[in-house]
Amino acid sequence: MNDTPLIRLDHLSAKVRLPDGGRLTTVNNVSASFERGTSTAIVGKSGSGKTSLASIIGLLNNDYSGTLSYDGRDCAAWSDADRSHFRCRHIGFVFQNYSLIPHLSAWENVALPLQYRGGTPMRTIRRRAVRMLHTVGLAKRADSMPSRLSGGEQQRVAIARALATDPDLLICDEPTGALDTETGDMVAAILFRQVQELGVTLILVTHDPQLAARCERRLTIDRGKLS
Amino acid sequence: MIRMIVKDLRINPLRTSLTALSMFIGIVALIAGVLVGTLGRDYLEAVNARLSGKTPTYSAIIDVRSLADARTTTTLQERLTTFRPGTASAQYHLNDLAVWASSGGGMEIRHVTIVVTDAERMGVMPAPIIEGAWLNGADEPATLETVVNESARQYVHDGTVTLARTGNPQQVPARVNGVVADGADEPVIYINAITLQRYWPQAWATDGLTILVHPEKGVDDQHVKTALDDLLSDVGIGSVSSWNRSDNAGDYEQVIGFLRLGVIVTAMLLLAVSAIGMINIGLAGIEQRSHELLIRRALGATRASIAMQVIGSSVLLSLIIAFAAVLISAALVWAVPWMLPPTRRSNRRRTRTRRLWSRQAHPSPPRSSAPSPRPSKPYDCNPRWPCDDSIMEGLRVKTWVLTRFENHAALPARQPCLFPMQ
Repeated sequence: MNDTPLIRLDHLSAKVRLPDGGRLTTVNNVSASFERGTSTAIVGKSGSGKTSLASIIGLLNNDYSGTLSYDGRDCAAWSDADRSHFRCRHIGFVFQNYSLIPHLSAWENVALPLQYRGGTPMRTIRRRAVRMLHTVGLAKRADSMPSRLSGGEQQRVAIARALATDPDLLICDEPTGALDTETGDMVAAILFRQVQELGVTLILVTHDPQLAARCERRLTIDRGKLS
Repeated sequence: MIRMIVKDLRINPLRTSLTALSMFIGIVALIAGVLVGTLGRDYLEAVNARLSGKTPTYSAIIDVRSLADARTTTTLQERLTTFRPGTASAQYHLNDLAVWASSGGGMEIRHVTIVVTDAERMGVMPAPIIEGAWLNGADEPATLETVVNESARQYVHDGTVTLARTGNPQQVPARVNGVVADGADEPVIYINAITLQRYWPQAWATDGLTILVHPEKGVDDQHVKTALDDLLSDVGIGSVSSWNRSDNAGDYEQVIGFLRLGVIVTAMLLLAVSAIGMINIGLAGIEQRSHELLIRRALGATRASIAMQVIGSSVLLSLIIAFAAVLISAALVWAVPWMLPPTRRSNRRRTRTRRLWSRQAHPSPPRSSAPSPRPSKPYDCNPRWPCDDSIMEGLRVKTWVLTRFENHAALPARQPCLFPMQ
């Protein structure tokens, strides 16, 4: 058994440049660790730094100070290509506004990370994409364009896409934020099933207390500080 | 990646089409500019070559001792035919030659430009042959032969033109070998010098001789002049008294160069405008797709793959359009010569449809006992309708074998020749 946490944040800080030239601290000296197969909710008000922290953890932003390590490996020295490859193989993202590519069909959206991973024939990729859509109950809508799908269906396609590469880490930024309660519950059920059945590490960024309560751990962020 | 790039091109078909169109116009304009410049230059050179000789052409005025002896003239012509440093053509000065033509109700002497020359003139001052053939070589003609330009066509009747001399009642019919487009507005009749001296010796009263020389590429003109002097000395005719360049390439070269530069610069500006438009559209597309590109980054796309995808669609589109433009331009290259003034190639088509002289109507000019010669290449009759009987017979036999006709009478009828040989 590997005791090293999947992710370790050590005195992590990040700032963004404001239009007036000033700098705003979005993540302020955050230290935390995330174990494998656990679910963690990061809650906080709007503008508290939740999404900034999630993007740093997801290797989308490397403009930070402190240490971010995966499996004990410091990510600071990684090149952009290394970060992209790691993201492609080990991290899945689900965003609030679904973020499907509008001119690609459902299965093509799901197939994207597999295409970027490379080395797999297109026929196999399509088969796997349709299987992932079947997992979220959308196998019959594989050829539908995003504009033809409801909000809940789009978010399920986004979840299928995030899970397509069997990631170790699933980062969900307000995954039910744009959905009604019933659909939100269905989407949340799918996400938590991945944690329980596949051992995926889930980081859930939300301001929904009910959704946060379903996670094993809850971290609150306020003005960039984690508590 | 290719799949993604192709998919990108299909996101917005209208934008892709318009981008492609602007680029296509730019490329075709550039190619057309170069093409027009090059063909225009070739065309002007060809026109100039008709009027004043190929570039360069030198005119040698000969200080003549005597040209009365037919053997001397024949020897000169034979030596000019094999002149090594270039192509040389003699032009004999005979001032009292004219044409006997109808005027109002009667016939009278008409003074037109008459050039007494040889078959080699075509090598120095190439003029497209509109109908028939050019003058024959020195040892071949069996009759007094001429060629007329388009303006002098009016003097041709039944395949002959009647020549006369000032102050002399004698009229001599001369066979017309063909019609040339020599670029001259006034009527010009070209007479084969050897045939004139042989078949109408009374008219052979030369006042002088000019030899036009077009040196081979890389041959110094002074070397050519020396060679010509040696030739004249060997034949015993005289020597070069004046040696001048007669073509006017220098006058138009600069103008052509400037025009070509102008066309190319304009075309390049057009290409630049379409390229800038394409870049602009590309940038707008990137801005429009920034959210999508961020999603792709989150899904594992590297910066390089994003750049390749964005640029790749433009590059692929450019390649497709460039290929199409090259095809269109190739078609243009093929089509442009057909738009230019007559050439030998297009003349052949005309020859088939415009048969002004029939064999039956063609009179017999003074004949010699020599057998009927074949026209020499490259100023031959249309090879599809050879004038020589033996060739025609050969064609008939070939046709018979190919079609397996049993009956010789069933073979295609003999085609009439435009300018039949005697």
